[in-house]
Amino acid sequence: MKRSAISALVNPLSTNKTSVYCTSCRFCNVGCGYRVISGAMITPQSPDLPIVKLENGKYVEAVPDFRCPVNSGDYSVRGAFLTETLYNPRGPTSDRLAYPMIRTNGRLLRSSWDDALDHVANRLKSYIQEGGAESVGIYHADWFGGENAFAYMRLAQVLGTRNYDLNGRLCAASGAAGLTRSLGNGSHPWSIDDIDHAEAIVLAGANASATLSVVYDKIYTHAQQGAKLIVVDVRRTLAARNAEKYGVFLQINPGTDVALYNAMAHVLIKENLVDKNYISAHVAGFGDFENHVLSNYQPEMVQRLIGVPADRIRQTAMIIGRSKPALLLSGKGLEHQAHGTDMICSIINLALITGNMGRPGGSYSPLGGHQGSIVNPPLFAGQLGHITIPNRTIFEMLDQIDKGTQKALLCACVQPMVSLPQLNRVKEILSKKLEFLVVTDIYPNETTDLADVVFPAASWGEACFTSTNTDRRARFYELFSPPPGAARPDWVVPTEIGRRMGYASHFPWNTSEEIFDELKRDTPFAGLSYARMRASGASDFQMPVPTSASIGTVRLYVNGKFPTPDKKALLWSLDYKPQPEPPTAEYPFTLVTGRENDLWQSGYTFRRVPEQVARSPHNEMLVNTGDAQRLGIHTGKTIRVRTRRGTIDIIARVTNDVPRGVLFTLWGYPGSPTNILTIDARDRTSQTPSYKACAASVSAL
Amino acid sequence: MHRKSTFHLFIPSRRAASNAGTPSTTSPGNRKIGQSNHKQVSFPTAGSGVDLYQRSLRHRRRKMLWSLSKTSGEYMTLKRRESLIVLGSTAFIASLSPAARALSFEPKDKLKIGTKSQIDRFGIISFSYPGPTHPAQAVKLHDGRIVAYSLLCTHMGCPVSYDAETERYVCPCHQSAYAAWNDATVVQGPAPRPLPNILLEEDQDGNIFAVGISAPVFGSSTTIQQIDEIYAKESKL
Repeated sequence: MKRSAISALVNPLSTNKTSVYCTSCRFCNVGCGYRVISGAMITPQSPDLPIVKLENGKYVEAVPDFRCPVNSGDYSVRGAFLTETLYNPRGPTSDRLAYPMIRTNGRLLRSSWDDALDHVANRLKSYIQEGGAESVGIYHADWFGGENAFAYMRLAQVLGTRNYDLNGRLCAASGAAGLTRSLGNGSHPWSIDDIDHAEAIVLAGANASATLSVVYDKIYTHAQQGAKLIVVDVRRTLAARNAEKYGVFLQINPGTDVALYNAMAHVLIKENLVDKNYISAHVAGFGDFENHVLSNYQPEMVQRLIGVPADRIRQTAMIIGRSKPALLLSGKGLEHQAHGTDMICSIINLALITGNMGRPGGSYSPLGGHQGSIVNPPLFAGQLGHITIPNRTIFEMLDQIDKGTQKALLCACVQPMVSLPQLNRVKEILSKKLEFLVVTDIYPNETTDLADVVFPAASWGEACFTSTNTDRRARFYELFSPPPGAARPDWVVPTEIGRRMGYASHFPWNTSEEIFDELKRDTPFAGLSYARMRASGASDFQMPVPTSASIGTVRLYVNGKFPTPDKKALLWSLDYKPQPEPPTAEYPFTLVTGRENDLWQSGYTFRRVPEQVARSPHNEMLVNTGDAQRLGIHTGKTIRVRTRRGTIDIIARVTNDVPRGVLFTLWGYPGSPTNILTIDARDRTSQTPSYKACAASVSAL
Repeated sequence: MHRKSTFHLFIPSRRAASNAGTPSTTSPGNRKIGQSNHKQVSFPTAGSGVDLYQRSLRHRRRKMLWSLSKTSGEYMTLKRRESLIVLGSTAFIASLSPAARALSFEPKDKLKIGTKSQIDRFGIISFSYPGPTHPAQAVKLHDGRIVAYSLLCTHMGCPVSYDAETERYVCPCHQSAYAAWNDATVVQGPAPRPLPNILLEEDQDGNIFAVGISAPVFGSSTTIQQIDEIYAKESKL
């Protein structure tokens, strides 16, 4: 390679030519492919997407990639404004964090990287000398790039602390736990191509049109072409309306999923729609499961509990049983539950007894929320090849901080002050009990307000990193834009802290590519490299990619061999368990939280895009028409919602989309702290909180 | 009471002030850089029940716009000179409608699309504007206003169709929906921007003309020069 070509590769910002970069949208688990066109003079490629002019005078346009098999040129309302989320000193993103800051006399004051890093390293050293490694904890995102996650993981390892958790705990942990329990591995088994082959598609507890828009576009197109669409949800979403047209919509009572899927299994077994050959060859535990569902889950016995007539349960089960193949997909409705792992296992049971697992067009998978840093779903025991960290969850860390045994917490790319349940307690602990909070982020937010040291991070486009999407596909993000001020990639913070604490030999890397080469050893993607992804785009590589000659694995379990001791998947005989906080006379409503199309998670990026603000200018609480009449609530009125943990005031929207006795609001709307209300009840296996159900009361103001 | 109202009103008043001096020649509604220059007041979207919600708040929005118009008198004058979007007896509503205030229209060739009696009778007139390959439609809303939009969805360019009952334009490809009664604001689906609004004019004989458009229609890209003009304008603000 010529010298000039190498320098262009190393520092693409130094060239003046128009360049095309491979990147991807990071704002959901689909990870649509984009080509970024950047240069001092460019020809706009897309008809309607925004072009921004960066500080260095270059124009940037992000064009949905027609060659990418994930989106084939499609894009969502989040992907449309990718370029507007880049740093623009004249635009709404001008408040990006640009310099490290240290809290002095109660105020965050600008400092240099060296001073801030020395300060953090010295404080951590003194905490570890006093109280051992357990006095320090790390909590970071798993969607901000595998390289960044790996550096933090290495820091936790060398410090010897068990206080290490990822924010996937709040998201995909139940899905991973359920998959591991039934199939032996937590990886998502499906491929996005399966949609094109499916005869019936089940969306269970997934508002896919809002959260995974491009996958939903494919499902909708396929349903129009004749596939049956079955939607199971508490709320009548856009997907549910389409299901009424192209299939069946089951509006169930909150948290009754286990009963529903057991009843469906009952129907399938009674109607002889199960795949006996597949079960005898590849599935264990069918005898117990058969007895269990046949004796306890006749649809007539559970129809009142579920809130759906037995006939409709039968009809839906018959559609699933007769469709060869049928694709089953689940969303947060099954994972953000106090019994989420059970719910996931109960829907996997359906996929197993119908023999759909591993068949093209027939599989089960959780859709997931955000991309995984290294594998998807993320690693919960911190296990990656040669690194194993037995970890405590963020909730256990909070308990420790409350007790005083943990003094310091390093956060990166997470917003515990918005995303954790029972926020009042979290705020109390983080602001009063925690001695030393280090936050790495791209914007000032509720968590940086409490921080003792703040590091500015490089965002999308300002650093190279990789991640994986819902069908285990590698996503590659290239560097094309300068970060604001002195902001640096996230991996710099743990690397430099580790070096300053005397572990320099454990942090040998100087670029994210070197980290990638280090982390991929002994992992399912040992065959990947930055060079391969740059050359052909990342979209073709679905994990596992064991060697540099292989292009990956389209779907898992094609041969029916599961990674369990006896190579068989396991059917779980599960029982419906009531919600942790059933409605009472004082708190007669069930509060359900969810997401909105144009608002990504806690929304801190898209609140800076004017078009997005225009689409959802404020948070609102959906109230059923009947309940609203009884309580004297009308649309636009401010109401007070109260749970045992807190109270918020919010604008009501009266609708028939939610059933009687159910309230619905957005999970992480900025400035509307819904999580003050939510309960800190967690799944026993995965420790995912029950965001989807708690008892609440409503009064008109 | 409307929580974000101050924030929303802030943006357009800046835009309005900048428009007051120079009649708009570019179409900043489409390629947006930095600050919003299209919408000033907007209401929650997504899902059903939205229509009901927005209607119930419409009178409040008008009140807010009224207070805005008091502060930007110059801008109103400019708009009156450019001619109003709505016709006949509904002119009063028109002067208060957000369309007349937030959007800046790029003048295009004057095209006769039909007559007042035609739209009163059929409720809808289809035509091509600004070019012969750009489908557009004028509709009469339930409240009597007459509005016109380009019919190419801003997401992938599929032609949208009008649902008279909910007063929405819905895209058959990916179900993006636009509120016809609110400047074609996106209320559902992946569409990034509102449909381009078309400026209408009526003469004494009851003929209706299309005379301008608020943003380029799908497929007609903005050039770098236009982006530079927008940047130059924003840096002057």
